[in-house]
Amino acid sequence: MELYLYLALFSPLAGSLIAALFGARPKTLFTGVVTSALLGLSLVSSTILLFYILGGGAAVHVEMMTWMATGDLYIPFGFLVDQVSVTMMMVVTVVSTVVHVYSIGYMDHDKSFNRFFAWLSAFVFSMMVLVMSDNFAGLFIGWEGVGLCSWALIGFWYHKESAIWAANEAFIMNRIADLGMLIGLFLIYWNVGSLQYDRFFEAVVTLDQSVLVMIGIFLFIGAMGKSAQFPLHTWLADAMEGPTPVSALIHAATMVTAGVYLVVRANPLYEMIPEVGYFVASLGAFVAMFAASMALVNRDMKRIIAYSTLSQLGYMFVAAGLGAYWVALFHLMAHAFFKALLFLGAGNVMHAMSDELDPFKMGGLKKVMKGTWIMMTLASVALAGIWPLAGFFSKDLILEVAFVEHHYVLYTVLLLTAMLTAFYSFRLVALIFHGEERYKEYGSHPHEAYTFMLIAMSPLALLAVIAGFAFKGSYIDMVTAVLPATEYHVHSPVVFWIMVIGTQLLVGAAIAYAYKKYQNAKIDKAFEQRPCYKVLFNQYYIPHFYEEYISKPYRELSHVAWKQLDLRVVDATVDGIATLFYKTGEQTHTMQNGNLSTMLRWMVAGTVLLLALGVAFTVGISVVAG
Amino acid sequence: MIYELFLILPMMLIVLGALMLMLLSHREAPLNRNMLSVLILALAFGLTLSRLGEAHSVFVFEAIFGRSFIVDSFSTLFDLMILGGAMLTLLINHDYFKSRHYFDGDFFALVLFAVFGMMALSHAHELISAFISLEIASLSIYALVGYNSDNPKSREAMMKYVVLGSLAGALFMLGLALIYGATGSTELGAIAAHIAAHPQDAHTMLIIGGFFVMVTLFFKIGAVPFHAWVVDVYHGAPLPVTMLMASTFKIALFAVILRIYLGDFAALGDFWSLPLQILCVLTLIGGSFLALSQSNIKRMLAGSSVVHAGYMLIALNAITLGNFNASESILFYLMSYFISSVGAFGILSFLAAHEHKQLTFEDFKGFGYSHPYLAAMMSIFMLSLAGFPSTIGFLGKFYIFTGAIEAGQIALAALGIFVAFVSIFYYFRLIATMYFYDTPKTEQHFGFDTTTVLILLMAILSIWGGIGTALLPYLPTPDALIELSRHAITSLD
Repeated sequence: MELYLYLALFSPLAGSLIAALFGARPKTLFTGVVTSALLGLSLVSSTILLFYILGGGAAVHVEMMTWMATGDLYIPFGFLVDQVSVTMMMVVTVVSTVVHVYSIGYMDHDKSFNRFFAWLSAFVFSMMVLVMSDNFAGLFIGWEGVGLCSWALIGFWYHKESAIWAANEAFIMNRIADLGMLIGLFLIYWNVGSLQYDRFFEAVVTLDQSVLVMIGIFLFIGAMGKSAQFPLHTWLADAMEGPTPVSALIHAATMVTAGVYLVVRANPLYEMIPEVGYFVASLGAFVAMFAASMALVNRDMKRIIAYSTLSQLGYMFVAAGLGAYWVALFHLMAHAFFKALLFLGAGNVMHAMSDELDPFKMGGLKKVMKGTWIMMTLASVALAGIWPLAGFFSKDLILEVAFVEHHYVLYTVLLLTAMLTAFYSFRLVALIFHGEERYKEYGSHPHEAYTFMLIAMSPLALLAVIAGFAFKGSYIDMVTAVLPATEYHVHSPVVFWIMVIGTQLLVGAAIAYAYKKYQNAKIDKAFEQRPCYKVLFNQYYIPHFYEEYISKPYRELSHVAWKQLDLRVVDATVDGIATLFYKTGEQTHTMQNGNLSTMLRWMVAGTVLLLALGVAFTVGISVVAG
Repeated sequence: MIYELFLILPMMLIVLGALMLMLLSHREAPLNRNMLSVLILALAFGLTLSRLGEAHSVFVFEAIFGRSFIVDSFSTLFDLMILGGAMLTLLINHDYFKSRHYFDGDFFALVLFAVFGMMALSHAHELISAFISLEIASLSIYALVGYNSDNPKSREAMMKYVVLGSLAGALFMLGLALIYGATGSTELGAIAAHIAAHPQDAHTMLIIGGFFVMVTLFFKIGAVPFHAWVVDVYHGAPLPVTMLMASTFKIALFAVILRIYLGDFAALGDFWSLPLQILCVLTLIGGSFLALSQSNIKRMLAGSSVVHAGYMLIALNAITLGNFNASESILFYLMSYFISSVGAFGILSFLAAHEHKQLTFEDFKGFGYSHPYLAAMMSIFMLSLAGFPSTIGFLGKFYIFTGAIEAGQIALAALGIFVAFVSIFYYFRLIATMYFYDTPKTEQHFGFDTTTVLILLMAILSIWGGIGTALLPYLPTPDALIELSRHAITSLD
């Protein structure tokens, strides 16, 4: 099994390195093909590992080599494939294989084709390191690696000012959160003396409650950055500047779920500190609602989907925070499939409309883009949580968890959010695919994407449909071997059916309303003047607030530090030292004039000096001794 | 008997090889002889490698030589480093030998004689043998320094080195006589026994003799104030010889220094400590001045090699204060310095072979554009020499400074760190020169040949050793190197 582990882990790296060799050259198709094939290999290996674990095999744990060993510090490069990480591996490899193949078509005309695949595969490798590591240090390497690749891919079109800005914003936001994560890791090492998961989880029961709370909070701050939770959420919507396959892979299916993975992985810790867990859940519910509300009025197709991702991440944190780790992981998996599908569909639409993002300028596209229409509708139905698609099983479970655990406020918030989700999803579908063909006014000539791109998307469509009812049973059996196997059943069947059917009805009503309102929508000027619209459209003025009250003062402070501190103190000191050395050098360079006699004098002087010391010393000793 | 023959077989191979090369000196083309020397060195290396790891300590042919020559794990490790160093030096200069006409005659025979002297030095267990070995190595190197007799700088360098070296040799003999007078023996074990048997205050003559011996050794490693020759000689000597002196010869010298300090003079540690501290401070600061004021890269590297000797003196001082673990840090430092300096010199040699330049800072303007790959590797070597984290040079310094702090030498460690910061100035100056000046030069093609592949290998080793992992499972990690050094050091007791 070790072989498959290494294959799964390292074939993306190999692909990335191969593509990187041709990074500066014009498009060569084979870089795309090779990286996709190597990811396929990784997918196959992960699948073999999955079946091995499903078949009751023990977790595969290897220690490839020692990374650091000094004194008490011992950090190996160790990898662990257990029920949790194999789930993540499957999600990562399935989505990234699809995205790679899809990108061959999507990036067809891009002159940096090769560079794109180098970074994309590097991302997958980092993500695999993140999920497969058996210790927090390895997780952190992957964590930073995905951050770096995300930065490079958001800013992939670096000639665009906005892309660079978004890339830097994402990177800096994550950096702030990573500081929290690092503090958490230091606390762990400080208190446990090891960063290995198993050592830490064994030690959890013996640690002081206050220490655990600190660790839990700081680790969660790291998770908040990666998973774009409030108040570090602004980067995710801006990250849509990157190519759409990147949005699908990194900013929907994999990297942003790393925070959820961290909480799930650290479940023994969060089990011990339910109050922190409750905070996580509350924040998750808030973000779910908050992000969904922003998606209601936005006029940028990709941003709407990004807000929806944010909202769904909120759902996952509710589940994880309430201790339903396997539920969180299940929703993570289902969400990865349908959200990536939705994004790739949006990518097709963008391609068709020459990078137009405003759905109000589209309409009626279902006639020309039948395949995309079907897939995006499927993904939206799954996202809305209609039976029997994947979203129903995973999202309804989260609602049940909130209900069973008697968190009725959370339940209500999530229920309302489910309606909002249905509404904005179908607002988008209605605006893009139905109604009259508004795009004609703008002179676009839409066309369907390459067939192979649609074929590449179809596995995701299939999974979005069947992931719920086909996999739920065996999935639960598998992960509950390592995660707390709490069952969430509403005891009274009447209440249960009322809940399920009620939810379905509400969601259905929201969908119908969205269709009705937006099928033939013209832009409603009066509505746009209302304050509530403005607040939502401007993302609650949070980016504005950050700009005015954080970025600007910080810039002023930096300016002062540069002028007053850096130039006057730091530079002056450094220059001073250098000048001092130079001046002394000029004064003393006669000592080094290359004259042999001078050299001999130096030798003699040195010998005499040493000798004098020796004599003084020995005489001194004998005087003391005598 | 047969076993002992087997033990000294590598050394015999080198001598026989040198003699054979002398006979061939006017028949074969220089490049063939280079390959032949590498082959001989490789054979000896392989033979020695087979002994690595097994603990052993044998006086060879005790009936004939007494206890003057020892073969133990310690000398085995040093043999490997010396042989490997010489081999790499010859190989990395392949292009250089090709481009210069004066490497005919006995050049390679002399290199092998020098290597033989160095190996014998690491085996010497007696001061007269140590002296003879040192002189075998030194005499060969004198000749090698002045080998390019058309170049007045080369001749001048040889002259200076011979004169100063003779003075140093004379001091060694004087010290030897004093030690013999005090203890009645020149064998290290007997001296140690004598020191142990007599009270501390009865050693005046022995200590003064010891100082003279040390002056010679410090002269050879270029410690201030015995450093005056370093820059001129390193600059005047042909590049391959400079490399051999800067890295391989230094390894052999530390072999004998460590053997003397660890094995036998350890009991007199108190006496060595203060003078060593003074030498350390002088060497670190003086070396920095030397390196700062140079405009030629070769001279800058020569000056900075003095500073590197200073770092190792810090560790030596920690040893005299009883922290024997610091000896591993010297070994590791020698290896790390070897890797980065051979790489840097290798690039100089490559450029000298292909572009016939003076190799001043000026010449490196726009190097980042004309030779992107070589410039990147040069940056790695500079970073490593400066001790930048994630390079092997950083780990080398890290071990030395922690060793010094463990021995209570906090001020010395702080000075070392300060000097390392100063060194950033002259090392990064080269990096800045390579990248921050635009020149109209077009990109040169990067071709793979012996020289460039080895430079690449050194660059990879610098990074590999710095990250602290064995990316190739069968190569020893830095931890394994430390383990190996520890193993070798314990064989001294």
